[in-house]
Amino acid sequence: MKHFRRYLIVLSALYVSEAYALPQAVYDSVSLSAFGTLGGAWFSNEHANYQQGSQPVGPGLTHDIDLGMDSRLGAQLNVAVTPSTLITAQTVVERLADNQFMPRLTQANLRQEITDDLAFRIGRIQSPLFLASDYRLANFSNPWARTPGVLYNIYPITHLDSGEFTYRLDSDIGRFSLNAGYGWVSYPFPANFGTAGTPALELNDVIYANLKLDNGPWRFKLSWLHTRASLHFPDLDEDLGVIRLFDPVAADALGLDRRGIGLYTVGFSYDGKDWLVMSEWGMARSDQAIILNDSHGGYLTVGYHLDRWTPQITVGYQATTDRRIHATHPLIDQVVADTHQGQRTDYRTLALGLNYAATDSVMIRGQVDLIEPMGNSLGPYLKTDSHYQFNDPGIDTLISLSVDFVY
Amino acid sequence: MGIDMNSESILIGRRFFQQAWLILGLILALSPVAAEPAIVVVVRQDSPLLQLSRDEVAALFLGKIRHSNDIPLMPFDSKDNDLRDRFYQEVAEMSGMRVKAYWSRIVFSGQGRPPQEISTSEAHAKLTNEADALIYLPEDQVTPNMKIVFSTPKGMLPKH
Repeated sequence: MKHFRRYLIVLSALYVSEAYALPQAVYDSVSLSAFGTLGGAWFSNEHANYQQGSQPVGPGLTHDIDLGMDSRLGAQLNVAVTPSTLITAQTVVERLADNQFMPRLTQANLRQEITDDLAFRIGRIQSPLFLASDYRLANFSNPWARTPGVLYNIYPITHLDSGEFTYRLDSDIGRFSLNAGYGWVSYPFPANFGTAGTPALELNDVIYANLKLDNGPWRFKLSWLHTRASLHFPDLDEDLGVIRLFDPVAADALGLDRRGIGLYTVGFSYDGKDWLVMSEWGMARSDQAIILNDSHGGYLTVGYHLDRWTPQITVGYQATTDRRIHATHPLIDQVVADTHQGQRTDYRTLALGLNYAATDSVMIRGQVDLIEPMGNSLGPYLKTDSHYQFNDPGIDTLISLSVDFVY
Repeated sequence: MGIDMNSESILIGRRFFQQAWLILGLILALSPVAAEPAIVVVVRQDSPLLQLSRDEVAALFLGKIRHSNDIPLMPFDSKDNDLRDRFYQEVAEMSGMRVKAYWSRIVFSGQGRPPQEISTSEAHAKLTNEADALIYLPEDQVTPNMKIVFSTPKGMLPKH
């Protein structure tokens, strides 16, 4: 509550200073933007939670209707120091891994355009891996109630402390943009991930590059990211200690200390006068393919603009790759096999959505997701109770209503 | 067998209105359409810029380029919602909502800012004070200190 009040005070001060106090020249170079979502979701499965990102709860097992899963409020201050130098600070209030609505700093960076074609940026930025990942928090810009988890949950981390450059090149087939950088990030795990508290997944040596091609309503994007991931929490360290007694090689292989993870994505979007089409596919491969399991997923969205209405359909899937280490000790190998099986996230989805642009800045959305976890898989669910049908989960329904706005 | 005067009056009345509607329809069909004034993109009269294509105008106002023929240009948006919507519909085939969504992606990913919004009266001052200012306004508001570098077709503007 104390943090929330502080946040409101800062927001009020920014608003007052922008509206009344700044001289004209400064006013022209400073702008305050805001975005937000008020959303409610109901999930049909009473034995599993549908959860987003690092949130520890969601609709289903723990709630009938969840008003917190998609809801958030963001504010952003932009300062154009010169026409080619932009400082951006963004803070977002949303439900975090400790089940509290708290503000967090999602962007704080300086962007310098060296020429029309070359720019560099340093500071905290939004992760640029997917087509919509660097603005995914401002959901007004997206066609869905939330970004498709089949792909975006493969790498749910939204920000990065980084230094990067972007180079643009105009050609006969469109504008190419090459973006590459180096950074690191600490990402909190939800409290229900088999341990108390919120251990952080540390990603170090994050190297990334993506290539975009824009031509009118078309965009194509190819991305690559590699990082070293570390995760430590008491339950895992204790289990590894026991395994090490029987099979030190397997214990080392299972350890989560600077394990390499590679991510590869490819996608395109077309947002024309009438039709909207978006599709992406991606895969993650890890040195430690047990807890950080290898997976791949993709989606296809097709919508049609009817004045202010956009009905749309999205199909998607996520699958776990059957690649794991094999321990020499049969008992340990069974533990590895069970752990690998328990981490499977195989599922497919069908979503029907309807968007209505109430004004140029307010979007009202309704979406029905049909989610079918594959047999012997948790699908997208992190938390289930003992009645969850692991072998034959069936098809679950997620109904979402939300209002997105930008200012 | 005489004509019912009441029925005759009704008949005459109907014919009168039919003819009146016909004449009115012909007048409307033959008269010139009340066209909206074209929207023109202007720079200062002393600017070396001579002309912009439709694609260049769209790219400049959507922040994709900042120069034309090596001439730096600083676009300014209009505070007039109707004028702004008509302008983007004409040059980029984008509705006001889609322009908002486009800039939201850029702003909230920290990649840039939309052009500053100014009123028509401020536009005149911008052109006087800033050599690279690029603005759009209705053709009938062009003054002698402005040079037209692009114009939408007159009377072809979509109405909202």
